[in-house]
Amino acid sequence: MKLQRAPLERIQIEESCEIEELAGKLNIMLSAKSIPKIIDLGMKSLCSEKQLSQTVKELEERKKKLEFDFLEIARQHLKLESRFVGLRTQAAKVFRDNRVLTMHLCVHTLRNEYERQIREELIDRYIAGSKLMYDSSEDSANEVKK
Amino acid sequence: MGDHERRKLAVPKDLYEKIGNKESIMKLIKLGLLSLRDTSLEKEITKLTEKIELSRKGVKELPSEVERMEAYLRDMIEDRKTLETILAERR
Repeated sequence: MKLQRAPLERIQIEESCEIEELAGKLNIMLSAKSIPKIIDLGMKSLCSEKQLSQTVKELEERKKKLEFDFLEIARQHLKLESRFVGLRTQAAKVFRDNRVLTMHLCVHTLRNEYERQIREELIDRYIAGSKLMYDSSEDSANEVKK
Repeated sequence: MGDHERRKLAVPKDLYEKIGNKESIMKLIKLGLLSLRDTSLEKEITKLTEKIELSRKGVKELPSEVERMEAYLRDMIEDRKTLETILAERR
Protein backbone atom coordinates (compact mmCIF):
# COMPACT_ATOMS: atom_id res chain seq x y z
CA MET A 1 0.00 0.00 0.00
CA LYS A 2 1.34 3.40 -0.92
CA LEU A 3 1.66 5.77 2.02
CA GLN A 4 0.47 9.27 1.41
CA ARG A 5 1.52 12.28 3.37
CA ALA A 6 -1.38 13.92 5.16
CA PRO A 7 -2.11 17.39 3.81
CA LEU A 8 -0.43 20.09 5.86
CA GLU A 9 -2.88 21.98 7.98
CA ARG A 10 -2.77 25.68 7.32
CA ILE A 11 -4.07 28.80 8.95
CA GLN A 12 -5.29 31.62 6.76
CA ILE A 13 -4.19 35.13 7.61
CA GLU A 14 -4.95 38.29 5.74
CA GLU A 15 -2.17 39.81 3.64
CA SER A 16 -1.32 43.47 4.29
CA CYS A 17 -0.89 46.11 1.59
CA GLU A 18 2.74 46.61 2.55
CA ILE A 19 3.52 42.92 2.16
CA GLU A 20 1.64 42.76 -1.11
CA GLU A 21 3.66 45.71 -2.43
CA LEU A 22 6.98 44.24 -1.32
CA ALA A 23 6.15 40.84 -2.80
CA GLY A 24 5.11 42.57 -6.03
CA LYS A 25 8.43 44.42 -6.27
CA LEU A 26 10.28 41.16 -5.82
CA ASN A 27 8.05 39.35 -8.22
CA ILE A 28 7.33 36.82 -5.52
CA MET A 29 4.11 34.94 -5.41
CA LEU A 30 3.33 34.49 -1.75
CA SER A 31 2.33 30.87 -1.89
CA ALA A 32 1.99 28.11 0.66
CA LYS A 33 5.43 26.95 -0.49
CA SER A 34 7.26 30.28 -0.30
CA ILE A 35 5.85 31.53 3.01
CA PRO A 36 7.79 29.16 5.31
CA LYS A 37 11.00 30.07 3.46
CA ILE A 38 10.32 33.80 3.77
CA ILE A 39 9.45 33.44 7.45
CA ASP A 40 12.71 31.52 7.90
CA LEU A 41 14.62 34.35 6.22
CA GLY A 42 12.88 36.80 8.54
CA MET A 43 13.90 34.74 11.55
CA LYS A 44 17.52 34.64 10.38
CA SER A 45 17.67 38.36 9.75
CA LEU A 46 20.01 40.13 12.14
CA CYS A 47 18.59 43.57 11.41
CA SER A 48 15.47 45.23 12.65
CA GLU A 49 12.62 46.09 10.30
CA LYS A 50 13.56 49.75 10.55
CA GLN A 51 17.20 49.09 9.67
CA LEU A 52 16.26 46.85 6.76
CA SER A 53 13.74 49.35 5.44
CA GLN A 54 16.39 52.07 5.61
CA THR A 55 18.95 49.89 3.79
CA VAL A 56 16.42 48.98 1.10
CA LYS A 57 15.55 52.65 0.66
CA GLU A 58 19.22 53.61 0.31
CA LEU A 59 19.87 50.77 -2.13
CA GLU A 60 16.88 51.78 -4.23
CA GLU A 61 18.18 55.35 -4.41
CA ARG A 62 21.63 54.11 -5.34
CA LYS A 63 20.17 51.86 -8.03
CA LYS A 64 18.19 54.76 -9.46
CA LYS A 65 21.34 56.90 -9.62
CA LEU A 66 23.29 54.09 -11.27
CA GLU A 67 20.52 53.56 -13.81
CA PHE A 68 20.73 57.22 -14.71
CA ASP A 69 24.54 57.04 -15.00
CA PHE A 70 24.25 53.92 -17.10
CA LEU A 71 21.82 55.55 -19.53
CA GLU A 72 24.19 58.47 -19.93
CA ILE A 73 27.31 56.39 -20.54
CA ALA A 74 25.45 53.85 -22.70
CA ARG A 75 24.27 56.69 -24.95
CA GLN A 76 27.87 57.87 -25.47
CA HIS A 77 29.03 54.31 -26.04
CA LEU A 78 26.30 53.64 -28.58
CA LYS A 79 27.10 56.84 -30.46
CA LEU A 80 30.78 55.93 -30.75
CA GLU A 81 30.02 52.35 -31.64
CA SER A 82 27.64 53.41 -34.41
CA ARG A 83 30.30 55.73 -35.79
CA PHE A 84 32.84 52.90 -35.71
CA VAL A 85 30.50 50.39 -37.35
CA GLY A 86 29.58 52.92 -40.06
CA LEU A 87 33.24 53.54 -40.84
CA ARG A 88 34.00 49.83 -40.88
CA THR A 89 31.16 49.18 -43.32
CA GLN A 90 32.37 52.00 -45.56
CA ALA A 91 35.95 50.72 -45.32
CA ALA A 92 34.84 47.22 -46.29
CA LYS A 93 33.09 48.61 -49.37
CA VAL A 94 36.09 50.70 -50.46
CA PHE A 95 38.32 47.71 -49.84
CA ARG A 96 36.21 45.54 -52.16
CA ASP A 97 36.17 48.27 -54.84
CA ASN A 98 39.95 48.63 -54.61
CA ARG A 99 40.35 44.90 -54.88
CA VAL A 100 38.37 44.80 -58.11
CA LEU A 101 40.24 47.84 -59.50
CA THR A 102 43.58 46.23 -58.61
CA MET A 103 42.52 43.11 -60.51
CA HIS A 104 41.71 45.30 -63.52
CA LEU A 105 45.13 46.91 -63.21
CA CYS A 106 46.77 43.48 -63.28
CA VAL A 107 45.61 42.80 -66.84
CA HIS A 108 47.24 45.96 -68.15
CA THR A 109 50.84 46.23 -69.32
CA LEU A 110 53.06 48.33 -67.11
CA ARG A 111 54.48 51.50 -68.61
CA ASN A 112 57.19 52.33 -66.09
CA GLU A 113 58.84 51.51 -62.75
CA TYR A 114 56.44 53.77 -60.83
CA GLU A 115 53.43 51.81 -62.09
CA ARG A 116 55.15 48.51 -61.32
CA GLN A 117 55.81 49.67 -57.76
CA ILE A 118 52.24 50.91 -57.28
CA ARG A 119 50.80 47.71 -58.68
CA GLU A 120 52.94 45.56 -56.37
CA GLU A 121 51.86 47.58 -53.34
CA LEU A 122 48.20 47.41 -54.29
CA ILE A 123 48.39 43.66 -54.95
CA ASP A 124 49.91 43.23 -51.49
CA ARG A 125 47.16 45.30 -49.90
CA TYR A 126 44.06 44.22 -51.74
CA ILE A 127 44.72 40.78 -53.15
CA ALA A 128 47.45 39.04 -51.17
CA GLY A 129 46.31 40.50 -47.85
CA SER A 130 42.62 40.49 -48.64
CA LYS A 131 41.56 38.21 -45.83
CA LEU A 132 43.12 40.50 -43.21
CA MET A 133 40.32 42.99 -43.65
CA TYR A 134 37.80 40.55 -42.27
CA ASP A 135 39.86 39.17 -39.36
CA SER A 136 40.02 42.27 -37.28
CA SER A 137 39.65 45.79 -38.53
CA GLU A 138 42.45 47.04 -36.33
CA ASP A 139 44.90 44.31 -37.29
CA SER A 140 44.04 44.62 -40.93
CA ALA A 141 44.44 48.38 -40.81
CA ASN A 142 47.92 47.95 -39.40
CA GLU A 143 48.77 45.04 -41.66
CA VAL A 144 47.61 46.82 -44.79
CA LYS A 145 49.53 49.95 -43.85
CA LYS A 146 52.72 47.89 -43.47
CA MET B 1 -8.34 46.95 -3.42
CA GLY B 2 -10.75 46.84 -0.52
CA ASP B 3 -9.96 44.97 2.69
CA HIS B 4 -12.52 42.31 1.94
CA GLU B 5 -10.83 41.63 -1.44
CA ARG B 6 -7.36 41.21 0.03
CA ARG B 7 -5.69 37.86 -0.50
CA LYS B 8 -5.23 35.44 2.35
CA LEU B 9 -1.89 33.88 3.22
CA ALA B 10 -1.85 30.22 4.14
CA VAL B 11 0.65 29.63 6.94
CA PRO B 12 1.39 26.04 8.00
CA LYS B 13 -0.34 25.39 11.32
CA ASP B 14 2.80 24.14 13.10
CA LEU B 15 4.71 27.27 12.06
CA TYR B 16 1.83 29.45 13.17
CA GLU B 17 1.77 27.75 16.56
CA LYS B 18 5.55 27.98 16.90
CA ILE B 19 5.51 31.73 16.29
CA GLY B 20 2.38 32.30 18.27
CA ASN B 21 0.38 35.09 16.70
CA LYS B 22 -0.58 36.72 13.44
CA GLU B 23 1.30 39.98 14.12
CA SER B 24 4.63 38.19 14.64
CA ILE B 25 4.09 36.14 11.49
CA MET B 26 3.35 39.26 9.48
CA LYS B 27 6.42 40.92 10.94
CA LEU B 28 8.61 37.95 10.04
CA ILE B 29 7.20 37.79 6.51
CA LYS B 30 7.93 41.48 6.12
CA LEU B 31 11.47 41.02 7.46
CA GLY B 32 12.01 38.09 5.12
CA LEU B 33 10.75 40.05 2.14
CA LEU B 34 12.84 43.08 3.05
CA SER B 35 15.85 40.85 3.40
CA LEU B 36 15.16 39.36 -0.04
CA ARG B 37 14.67 42.83 -1.53
CA ASP B 38 17.97 43.90 -0.01
CA THR B 39 19.77 40.94 -1.59
CA SER B 40 18.14 41.41 -4.98
CA LEU B 41 18.93 45.14 -5.00
CA GLU B 42 22.56 44.42 -4.18
CA LYS B 43 22.73 41.99 -7.10
CA GLU B 44 21.09 44.50 -9.45
CA ILE B 45 23.54 47.19 -8.31
CA THR B 46 26.50 44.89 -8.93
CA LYS B 47 25.23 44.09 -12.45
CA LEU B 48 24.62 47.77 -13.20
CA THR B 49 28.08 48.71 -11.94
CA GLU B 50 29.63 46.08 -14.20
CA LYS B 51 27.63 47.32 -17.18
CA ILE B 52 28.70 50.91 -16.47
CA GLU B 53 32.34 49.85 -16.24
CA LEU B 54 32.09 48.01 -19.55
CA SER B 55 30.51 51.02 -21.27
CA ARG B 56 33.11 53.35 -19.72
CA LYS B 57 35.85 51.11 -21.09
CA GLY B 58 34.23 51.28 -24.53
CA VAL B 59 33.88 55.06 -24.36
CA LYS B 60 37.55 55.30 -23.41
CA GLU B 61 38.83 52.96 -26.11
CA LEU B 62 36.49 53.65 -29.03
CA PRO B 63 37.71 57.16 -30.00
CA SER B 64 41.16 55.81 -30.86
CA GLU B 65 39.56 52.89 -32.75
CA VAL B 66 37.43 55.38 -34.69
CA GLU B 67 40.50 57.49 -35.48
CA ARG B 68 42.39 54.41 -36.67
CA MET B 69 39.47 53.37 -38.86
CA GLU B 70 39.21 56.90 -40.31
CA ALA B 71 42.92 56.87 -41.19
CA TYR B 72 42.55 53.42 -42.74
CA LEU B 73 39.58 54.59 -44.80
CA ARG B 74 41.41 57.76 -45.90
CA ASP B 75 44.34 55.67 -47.14
CA MET B 76 42.04 53.37 -49.06
CA ILE B 77 40.20 56.29 -50.65
CA GLU B 78 43.59 57.62 -51.77
CA ASP B 79 44.38 54.22 -53.27
CA ARG B 80 41.06 54.20 -55.09
CA LYS B 81 41.82 57.60 -56.61
CA THR B 82 45.26 56.36 -57.72
CA LEU B 83 43.75 53.21 -59.21
CA GLU B 84 41.03 55.13 -61.02
CA THR B 85 43.57 57.59 -62.43
CA ILE B 86 45.89 54.88 -63.72
CA LEU B 87 43.03 52.87 -65.20
CA ALA B 88 41.50 55.98 -66.82
CA GLU B 89 44.80 56.71 -68.55
CA ARG B 90 44.71 53.21 -70.07
CA ARG B 91 41.27 53.58 -71.59
